[in-house]
Amino acid sequence: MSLSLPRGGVYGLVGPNGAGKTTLIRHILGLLRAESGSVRIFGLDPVADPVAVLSRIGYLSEENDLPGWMRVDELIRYSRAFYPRWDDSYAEELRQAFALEPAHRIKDLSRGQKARLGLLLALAHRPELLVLDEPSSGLDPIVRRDILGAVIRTIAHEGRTVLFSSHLLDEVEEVADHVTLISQGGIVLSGPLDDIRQSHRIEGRVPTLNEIFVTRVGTAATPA
Amino acid sequence: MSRNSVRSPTSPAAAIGWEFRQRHRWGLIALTGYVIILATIKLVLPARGQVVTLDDAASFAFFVVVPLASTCMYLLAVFTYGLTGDLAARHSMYPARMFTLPVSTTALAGWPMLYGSLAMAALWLVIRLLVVWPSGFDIPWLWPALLAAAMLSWTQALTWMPYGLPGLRVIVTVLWLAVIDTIVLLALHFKARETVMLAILAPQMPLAYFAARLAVARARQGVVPDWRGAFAWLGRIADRPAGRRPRRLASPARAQAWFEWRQHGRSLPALVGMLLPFELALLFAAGNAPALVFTLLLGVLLTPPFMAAFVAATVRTSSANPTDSYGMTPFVATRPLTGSALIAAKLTMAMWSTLAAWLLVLMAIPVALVLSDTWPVVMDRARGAIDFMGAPRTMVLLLLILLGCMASTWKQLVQTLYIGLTGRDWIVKASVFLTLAFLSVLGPVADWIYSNNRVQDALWDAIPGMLAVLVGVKMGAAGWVAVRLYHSRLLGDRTLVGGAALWCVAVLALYGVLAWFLSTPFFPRYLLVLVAILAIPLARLSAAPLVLAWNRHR
Repeated sequence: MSLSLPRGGVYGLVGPNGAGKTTLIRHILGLLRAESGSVRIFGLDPVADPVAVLSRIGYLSEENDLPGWMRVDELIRYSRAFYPRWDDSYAEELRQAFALEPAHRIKDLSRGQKARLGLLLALAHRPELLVLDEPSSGLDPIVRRDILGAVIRTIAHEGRTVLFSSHLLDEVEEVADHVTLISQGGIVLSGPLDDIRQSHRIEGRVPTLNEIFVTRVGTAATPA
Repeated sequence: MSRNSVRSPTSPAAAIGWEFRQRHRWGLIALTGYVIILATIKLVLPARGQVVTLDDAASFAFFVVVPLASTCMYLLAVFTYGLTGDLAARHSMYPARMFTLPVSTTALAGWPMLYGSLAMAALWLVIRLLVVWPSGFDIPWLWPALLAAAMLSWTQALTWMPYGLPGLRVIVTVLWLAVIDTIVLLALHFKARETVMLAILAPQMPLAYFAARLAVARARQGVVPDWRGAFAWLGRIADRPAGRRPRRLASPARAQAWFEWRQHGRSLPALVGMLLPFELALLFAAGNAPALVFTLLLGVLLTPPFMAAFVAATVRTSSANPTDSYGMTPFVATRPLTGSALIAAKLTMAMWSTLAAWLLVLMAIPVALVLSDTWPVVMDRARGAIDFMGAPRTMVLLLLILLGCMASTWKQLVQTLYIGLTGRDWIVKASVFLTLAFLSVLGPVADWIYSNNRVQDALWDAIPGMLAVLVGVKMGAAGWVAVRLYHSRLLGDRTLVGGAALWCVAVLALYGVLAWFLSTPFFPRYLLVLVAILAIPLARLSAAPLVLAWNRHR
């Protein structure tokens, strides 16, 4: 697999479950060591230099693994210590927008609330690279539609980079301007979304990402 | 039927049994092999006129006691689902995946208990049947089999129970099994007949079953009591004075140390705080018997390091949520911190946890001595010590004992980091299994040494050599770790050199203290150097960054 993401823009990583999206993201975060080849983020090796890389990345995990024993305000207080560029007012703005009570214990939050809190932590230090692993699986439809899209567009507008993985291709289509299709651990297709759609016209019609995926891979990204 | 086809279990009982058999087939094959080899040695060879010298205590211990004890531990781990569960967690060790099966709670608790009890009893009976025991030993058939089954059943019941505090499962299980053991030993001491032994042990089975059923029922309903709040005041004392707003965590290192303290730091003071009242209450019954008073005080002083060994099982996990797995969760792994900073936070937390636990002990002991009127007994002995050694030497001795106990507590908390931080289930569980197997054979081996003067003499003569070998192994391991750390660049050159210098200073300081205190011809100076080198942690502690990197960057 060879993939390069230039700075700026919204990159959608799409593919069916088990295609290798999370594995690729774990390589980017330095959680997996490459057996061959190399991974460079901001020109740095995330395994050899985790502090320099991770302090510039905002990450929303697919797993709800926030420490349940902490309160919301404690987690925010704890997390801000790691990021010199943490923006308190932005964090507070997001907390209110996501309707998170500071005194609530994380173990008592719903799955959607935990995902929102994870998103807050990923955003509040204004990362240069925002990595969202299957955000759709945790966030409720309202947050996905009204907030996540707006946040992603704002980040991209500021010249920062967003990489998000999903198996819901129509959602990717709404937000991403670059798309990489993955199947069975390999890249099937990668490039600007508009270019991909134009180059896969079906009888003169611009196809959906789902149709392109079926054409190239043979199966749908999302099981029926 | 084709060769590869597998017959499907036709009932829940068969399915549960099939899982045990299929999952642990290699262990069961090894166990069968051991029994066959033992039977061959003891039955076939003598029949052909060949002499087998298995009847002396050493051979007996090596060929029978050690493998038998290890096998018992293995069966305990298998039938309690201990190989997949977390012994230190609050939630039940019974696999949650089985709670959604369309099977009654009675079946969920009953079948593993029945299979486990049969396996333990069968192990005993097979060994008893196949092995011709040493002459002069009259070993009964039935009650040891029942004891083995009862021990397993109670272990199942107590490990499947959800608990209110992390680590409480280990304490409750160990204490309860010790109670059963004590009852059996007392009965043996008074030469109870087999029928009496059976009468004592038989009721254990239904009692254990009802406890196990209750445990599984509670776990199935998702009941996990949380008593941590009852001990939160201990943490709040250390967290911040009442009424003051929480301060910002000034650096990533402080934030991570706070995280570790909140997650693990309170466990040791809480457990020590729970045990102290019971231990110190015994002082009220001790009266003016100095031996009993000092035995109780020794027990109190050994409580923090003893409990630290249990708490270490949770401290060494690298996960933010250790109930899920031993691996590192993305939340912790993506902290913008180096591996050495993550470990430093654990070491710092262990230090504060040790200090908090000892603060409790040091505050509670004088209060209990005064309230129980045993203070004069202690003061009387203290005056005797001052008369014998002089005041400065006595003070230094007391201080050294205290510092030694505190250092031992800290060491207990951190010395197994190199195992837990690997994040590999098989390493963690293998270490637990080996430790339990080692502890189970420690008694027979110690008894064998105690009753054999020849062995004692040989051991005494071999002590310098053994210490030298251990030092060689330790320094060899430390050298290998240092080379790996240097090449992997996990620690900077300055940190490596500084750490080595600090270790040398600690060894020299300990040697100085030992040389000052034990200035007799019975302890040669080189022996004290070897002891000092072995006492100060080095290899295992310095391996922690390597194993953490192995876990964090897979």
